[in-house]
Amino acid sequence: MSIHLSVVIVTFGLLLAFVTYTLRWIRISLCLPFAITVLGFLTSCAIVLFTQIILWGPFEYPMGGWAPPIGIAYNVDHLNSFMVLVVTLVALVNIIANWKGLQNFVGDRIGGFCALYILYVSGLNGILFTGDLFNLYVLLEIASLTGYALLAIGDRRLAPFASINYVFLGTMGACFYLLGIGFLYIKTGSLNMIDVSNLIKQLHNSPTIITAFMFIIVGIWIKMGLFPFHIWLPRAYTHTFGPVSSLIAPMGTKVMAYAMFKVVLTVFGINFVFRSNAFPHIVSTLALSAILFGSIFALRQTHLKRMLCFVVITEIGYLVSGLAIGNSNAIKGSILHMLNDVFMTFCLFLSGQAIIERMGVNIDGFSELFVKTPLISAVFITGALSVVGIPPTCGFFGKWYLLLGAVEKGNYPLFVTIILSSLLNLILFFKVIEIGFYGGKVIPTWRLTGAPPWSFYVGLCFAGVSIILMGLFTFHLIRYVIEPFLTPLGL
Amino acid sequence: MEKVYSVLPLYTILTSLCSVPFIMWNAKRPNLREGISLIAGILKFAIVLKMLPATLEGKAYEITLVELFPNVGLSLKADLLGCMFALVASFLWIITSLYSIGYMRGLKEHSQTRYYVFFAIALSSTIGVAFAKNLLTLYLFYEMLSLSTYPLVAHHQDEDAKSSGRKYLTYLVGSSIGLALPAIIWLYSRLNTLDFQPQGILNGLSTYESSLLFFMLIFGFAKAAIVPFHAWLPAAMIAPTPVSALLHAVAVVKAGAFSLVRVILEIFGQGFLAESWAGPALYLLTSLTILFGSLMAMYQKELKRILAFSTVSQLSYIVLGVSIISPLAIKGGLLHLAMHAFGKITLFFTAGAIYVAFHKKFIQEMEGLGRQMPITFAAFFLGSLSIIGLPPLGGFLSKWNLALGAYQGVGLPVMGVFLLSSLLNVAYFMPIVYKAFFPSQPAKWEFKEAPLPCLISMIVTSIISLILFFYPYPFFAITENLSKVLGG
Repeated sequence: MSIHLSVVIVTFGLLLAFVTYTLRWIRISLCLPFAITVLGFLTSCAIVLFTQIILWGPFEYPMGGWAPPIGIAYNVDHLNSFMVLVVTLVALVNIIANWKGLQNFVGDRIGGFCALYILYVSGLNGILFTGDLFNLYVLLEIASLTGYALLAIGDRRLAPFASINYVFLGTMGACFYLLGIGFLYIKTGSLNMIDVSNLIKQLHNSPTIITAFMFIIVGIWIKMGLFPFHIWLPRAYTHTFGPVSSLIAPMGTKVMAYAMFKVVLTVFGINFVFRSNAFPHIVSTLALSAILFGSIFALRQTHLKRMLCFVVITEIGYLVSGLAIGNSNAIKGSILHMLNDVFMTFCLFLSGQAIIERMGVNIDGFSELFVKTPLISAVFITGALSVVGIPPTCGFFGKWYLLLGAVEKGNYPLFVTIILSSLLNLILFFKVIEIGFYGGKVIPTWRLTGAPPWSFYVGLCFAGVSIILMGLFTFHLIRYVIEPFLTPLGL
Repeated sequence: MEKVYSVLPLYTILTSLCSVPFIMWNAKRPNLREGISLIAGILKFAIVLKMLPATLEGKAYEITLVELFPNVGLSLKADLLGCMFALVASFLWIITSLYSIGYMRGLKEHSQTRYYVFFAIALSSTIGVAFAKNLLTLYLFYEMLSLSTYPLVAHHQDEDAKSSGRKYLTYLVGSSIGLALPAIIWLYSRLNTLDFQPQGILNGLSTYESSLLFFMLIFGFAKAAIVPFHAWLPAAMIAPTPVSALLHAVAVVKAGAFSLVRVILEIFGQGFLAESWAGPALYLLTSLTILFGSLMAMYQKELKRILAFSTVSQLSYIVLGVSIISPLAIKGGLLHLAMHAFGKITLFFTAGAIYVAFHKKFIQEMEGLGRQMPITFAAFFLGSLSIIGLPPLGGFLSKWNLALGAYQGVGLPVMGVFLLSSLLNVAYFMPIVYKAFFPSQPAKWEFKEAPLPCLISMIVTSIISLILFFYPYPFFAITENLSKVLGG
């Protein structure tokens, strides 16, 4: 068993990103193939690592041989190694699928683009692995800064503006997080997650700890785009370049959701978080309003990508509602939904982007969608059914656990809200299907004709099939990925 | 019940699902494409037949494809009840495929490949519903059935089809997500299992809670069209007639009724109905539906809408039958599932034949048509006799058992409902037949029938309805066994 793989995934990613950039001085056409090779390498490392974790269990990696409370540690367990696998795999498939589109759109700046792309993925991998609160901040900044740069690509007028908007809010979120760990450090004198969680067991009533918790959680929520901190999200994801949105929309918010689970469950612990009803009540309200707000606002959109952004906001509501309910099944549901949502969002943004390239952004212009783009729309519908929660697509199973938890706990408002939002999402996507089937009010603007390249079909098939497979292997995901993470935490 | 591990139930589902790529592949070769549909249908029927003898002895073929939640997997179980439904559905699929050839070509319909593809998927889902081992698997195939039939219902792609299609999905998917799914999750959280068991699996729930869940499921499976969740069925009549014939007389609506049979007998059990107020409430609700459907049918002008409301009414016969605590009523209800299928599909076939030959939809226009289409109207006559429940047709047997069972189990009022509804059936079916043969203005005897495949299929189904009266052995044996096992 090689524990070094965990560190290889992050550091090699960071280093090779710069190598990718320097390749442009040798030959610019080398950049993209090299970037794909790098991501392929990271993915295969992630696969090996995940297999090792399944076989031999989680481990702690002391960085540079320094023992953990002093040195930085990577805590690799079942859940985060699987998340890393998901993130690298989806990033790899995304770049392969958009191979041609990238070459056409980015042109000679492809070297920079690939470097940013790999840096972003490595930043996310770091966030997932790290067991150190400050290290998490550093990697969060790496992921954020590269994310801002990537999101600024796209619509020449609107994308940079949307990105700046995100910079302001994102920085605010990161500052909140930093302030929070500052407070924690003052009180405990440690930054290692496990160390801190042991130290604050005696300090549950300390106002400093409570303040720290509030700062950290709000900071993470801003970065996640939880309602009402979501304002940056629709604009940033809408105006950006397609391959960027199908990279960042699936991963950015989900990795932050993982950070939230880690901070809430591992660092502060359920005994601290659920000792009074205050936290569940606040989260319940936020989750409820995120789900309702997202579903209702999505209904009002005519811009396909903007509509998908509001769907993402709804999904974020699901991710936090597990904490609102707070029992084992609900938290399982939220974590499962977090894993599934990567694939769902990827599927919707990838196929949605392809539809936009062909038929324009306006939903009303999607006449004859199914005749003209049969495979793309089939995959889009698979993603849509998953969002609605029709079995055997994966979206159903996360909702199942959430609803199960809500019934057990007796949290009926949330129970009803989740059902209601499923129905609203059904109406939402049915509207698109209806226009595709019967024709809409607007005459479609055909921008691009001809079949997409084969590489795009690879990505498309991956997106469609992964949704079904994630659904069918729910039992295994719960047993081998999520339960090993939750059981030591007392859930 | 003896369990046999077997892949056969899965094969039954896959036969039509696997035909989909071949149907798409041969989009440009209609003969081959429809041949594939027929072959898949025959294969499916053959596999179901192969499983029948063992299930009659009380065995059940089981397979778990994948575990989904603790104690609940994606599991199939071909037991006697499932086999009976699968037998009817798969046999009638063959006939309907034959009929479709005549109908779709006769009318030169567009998008015929899409039609055959979704038909095959719908049939797979129906068999999935029949062979589901637990409520979750049933729900999965139930949703698949709703979604795969949408393109069939909205086949014409015009404004009418749009609004009808919208109604169709809103009712069916809306109710299943809004009512059935929460109830299933709730049941799972209380019982920790969702497997179907004879006599039910209910324990430890308060009467109030279980009654609430019971009605959430009754309304949630809206394909059974119990008032007030029936309006999708008349709306769905916008579909091409073979779709209405197979899906809205056999597969879809019976999938709804079948789901309720499973829920009533194998989740809640008749014991629950006997003890709580849910039983009487269900009797009242289904009786209302029976009378409402029959009355509404009298006021319709379009032939297919008459048939739709008649179906609404007849579906509640099945649900009411299995909820009455009497082996005879259960037997009658289950028998009706098969008998009604043969009768009603004949009626739909004739309605389609009239449309193909004369483009006539309204019963007003059908005066004297019997002299031009004697075979069609003879079949219509036989079909309607079966629905009314008169000898010598199969429908008589099921209604006889139902009425007797109702008298045994509940008493005269419910028996009265059955008889009254039968009278109403006479009142809306017989005038059509009479006017067709004896119009007020004299009409010529001029032979002009629908295409041959259409004729063959309606002759076959009407004759089977007739034969089932004299030789009901297979269904008698099946329902007899079932009423013993399930009624207890």
